[in-house]
Amino acid sequence: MRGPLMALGMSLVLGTGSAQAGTFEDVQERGRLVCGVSEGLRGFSQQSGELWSGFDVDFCRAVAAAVLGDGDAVDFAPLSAEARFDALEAGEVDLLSRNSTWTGSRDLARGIDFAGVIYYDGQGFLVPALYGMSSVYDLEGARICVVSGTTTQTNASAFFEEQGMEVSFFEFEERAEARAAYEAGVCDTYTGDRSALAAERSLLNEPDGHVILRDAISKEPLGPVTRDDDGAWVELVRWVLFALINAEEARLGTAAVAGDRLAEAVTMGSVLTAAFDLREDWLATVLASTGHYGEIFERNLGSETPLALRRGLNALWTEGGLLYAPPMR
Amino acid sequence: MGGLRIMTLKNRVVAACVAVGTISAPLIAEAQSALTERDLAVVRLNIVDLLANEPGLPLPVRQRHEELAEYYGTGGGDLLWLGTGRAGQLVARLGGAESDGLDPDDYPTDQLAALEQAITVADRRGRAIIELHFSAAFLEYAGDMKVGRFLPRKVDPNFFLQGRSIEPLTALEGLAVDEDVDGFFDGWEPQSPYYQDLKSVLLEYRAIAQLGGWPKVPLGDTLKPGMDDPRVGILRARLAVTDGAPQPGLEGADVYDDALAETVRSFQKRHGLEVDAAVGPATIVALNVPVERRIEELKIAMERWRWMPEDLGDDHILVNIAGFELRRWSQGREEERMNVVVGKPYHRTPVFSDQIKYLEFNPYWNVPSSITFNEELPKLQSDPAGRAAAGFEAVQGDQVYDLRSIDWRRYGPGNFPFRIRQRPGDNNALGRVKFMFPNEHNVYLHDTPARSLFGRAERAFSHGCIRLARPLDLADQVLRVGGVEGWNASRVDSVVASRNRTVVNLAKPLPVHITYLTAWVDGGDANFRNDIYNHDEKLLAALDGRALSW
Repeated sequence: MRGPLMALGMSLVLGTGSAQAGTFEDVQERGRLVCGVSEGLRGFSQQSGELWSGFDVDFCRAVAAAVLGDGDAVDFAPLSAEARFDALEAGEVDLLSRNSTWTGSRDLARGIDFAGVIYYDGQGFLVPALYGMSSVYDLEGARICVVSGTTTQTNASAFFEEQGMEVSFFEFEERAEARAAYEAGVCDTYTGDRSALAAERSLLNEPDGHVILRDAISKEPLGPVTRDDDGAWVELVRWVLFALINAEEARLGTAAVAGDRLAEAVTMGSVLTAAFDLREDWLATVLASTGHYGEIFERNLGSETPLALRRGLNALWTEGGLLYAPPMR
Repeated sequence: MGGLRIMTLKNRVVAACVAVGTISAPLIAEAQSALTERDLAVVRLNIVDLLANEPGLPLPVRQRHEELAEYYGTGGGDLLWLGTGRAGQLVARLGGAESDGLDPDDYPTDQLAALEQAITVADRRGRAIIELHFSAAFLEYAGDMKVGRFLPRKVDPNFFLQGRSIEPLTALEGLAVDEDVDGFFDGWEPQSPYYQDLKSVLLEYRAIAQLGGWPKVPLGDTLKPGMDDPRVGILRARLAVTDGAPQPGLEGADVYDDALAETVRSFQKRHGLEVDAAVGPATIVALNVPVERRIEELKIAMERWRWMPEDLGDDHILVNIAGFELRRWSQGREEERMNVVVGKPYHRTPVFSDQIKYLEFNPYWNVPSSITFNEELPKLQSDPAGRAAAGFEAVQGDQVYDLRSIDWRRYGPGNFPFRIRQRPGDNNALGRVKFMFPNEHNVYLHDTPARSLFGRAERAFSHGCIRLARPLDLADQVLRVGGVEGWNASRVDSVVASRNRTVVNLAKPLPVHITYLTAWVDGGDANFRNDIYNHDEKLLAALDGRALSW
């Protein structure tokens, strides 16, 4: 793998503005980060007037804060599911932070790199709370609403077939239709990625009357994506993600850096500071802008939000989850 | 199995069954009015009609359709919830599921409560659905309480769950003759004293948790009687929460006095530690396990009891792998306890129930093929004379060979026409007797020449079988309750002395239960043991939906 210093050296030789390597320098020269996000997914990226917010949006801000010293120096580019990877490969965006599942075919067959996993998602099921169910194994005989044209129904069919459970599917083209049919009682349950189901649930008339079953039947690791011809850039993005996770582990958040723990943030970020020639307080700027991973999660997806998602797999490894970032030293 | 029906309803509004799937808000907001006998009769007719004709009933009702139709329809059963006091009682019971070692979040407590508020609404079909929802939730809880919560079979094959299920109709009819929900559950829940004692202790530990648990004793030098150390004061405070640590003597709370030593010994005993009053790392680790974890262990032990057969047998043998202990019950009373050695973590002794069918004195030990290839073959190749002297021989068909007559370097896995066995004798791995309950796991109880292991506090050393500390005592008792005439201790001794292989069939097979319990209650005292096989950890994860293999 190419080291960041080598990449910096190359850009000195080639000059700035090279479309090939040097996304870092491009962003610095431009003074703005162009970040691809979804066209609107509650909790992940949503627009209200000019203002963007959400879990994916906050990761864009964190990278901008690290590179430019300003979490607001981001131009958001809403991208459809079909267009997202083409737009990234064509250089239209510097970074894709758009609930994209890291899969072998995407990683290996396309000119893209996944920087890491920012959200461990999985296919789940929404059911009326009155049913008193907690597990997918309770769904024997269920009528299942599903949006067609995704792998969702194939996944579910395969799962129930393997379990020897009899179920039936009702397909809809749009989320809104599937949601309406579920709400009307046509189906016993509505399946989709759990993060998306949480968003759907928040749009029901009585969200509290519905629960997402706790187990998932597929792996959907979502992560930020870069082009694969710029090793330095993917490393920077990856280590900003690790820094957010490590900062949570150290309980180093917005309040801590605003208080008396600024020096800790400087120390924690020092290896990256040296490698990318960042400002000494880059991590403090990131944490002041977005907070650590846990703060980003709670603000956009957590129990105080309409999505009310539990940390689950996205808890720190020290708390029973899968978030395990290599140390910053 | 596994038939999948795909229905495509693209862009079509489906109006059917709308009123059935969910209870609409106006229904719930309806003003209260007393239900007359006539109302109730009409609701009953609606229930019967819905069960007979409505394909769009809510899933929990559809899943229990047959039993509900039988109860309300052909059986003509009374309404269980509407017009009775039971609805509120069930809501209260589900809300207090912690007391049953269950999780209130697993049941639709709040949702049922909201329905209960709506119980007097005018919509007759709506009321019928309410009654059915309550019955479905009741059956769910009754099942979880009596036979355990659903677990995917994949969790761990070593759990070897003998799946049991409830008879829903029995539960519905039982409730119908019992006005009181709690009264019904009192008679329905597992009646075993093991379960009931755990339930009582769970109550105590939950109270401790509410008061904030117990302080942690810092690690450090081993604390011994006579020492004067600030950590002794903390130890005293810690024990006061669970073991009633005595008031400090004149020397003060920081002095480790005799009375405190007595309390420490009792703590060590109930945690399976060396009982020496020396508070070293092992004791401190046990002291510092948080109360929340102990509560989980109690709940898991209750869950395991739900899996057990309801009738263990008046006479039976119960082995607890995690406690390294065997208990012999006779005529409904515990008569004897004995230390046992169980499988080491990579040779886990499985959990199951069976019946002892026969005893074999002076048994041959037929070496399992895994042990033959992994352990015996290298020894045969390097020192056949030594193995022969240890009593081993080779068998091919009816022919028995001296180990020294074979060139063992010529044989290996895939090319091994022999069985290796060890003749009866002092070195025999099975010792002087084995207790057989033929099973697919090849697990049985037996004697052992390795006596020193019984002195250890943790005793997981075997290849999966269960080794007994006092096998001949047990043989004597098992033959007695097994209805075998003409046996006593002296006959056992003389048969053993003969060195002849002797099989004795029991006239009456004796139930044997191999369990894995990290928590139990002895004379009111909670006992806890280490989770040597990590079964608890997996079970907790599975009950929390975290063990799906993807």
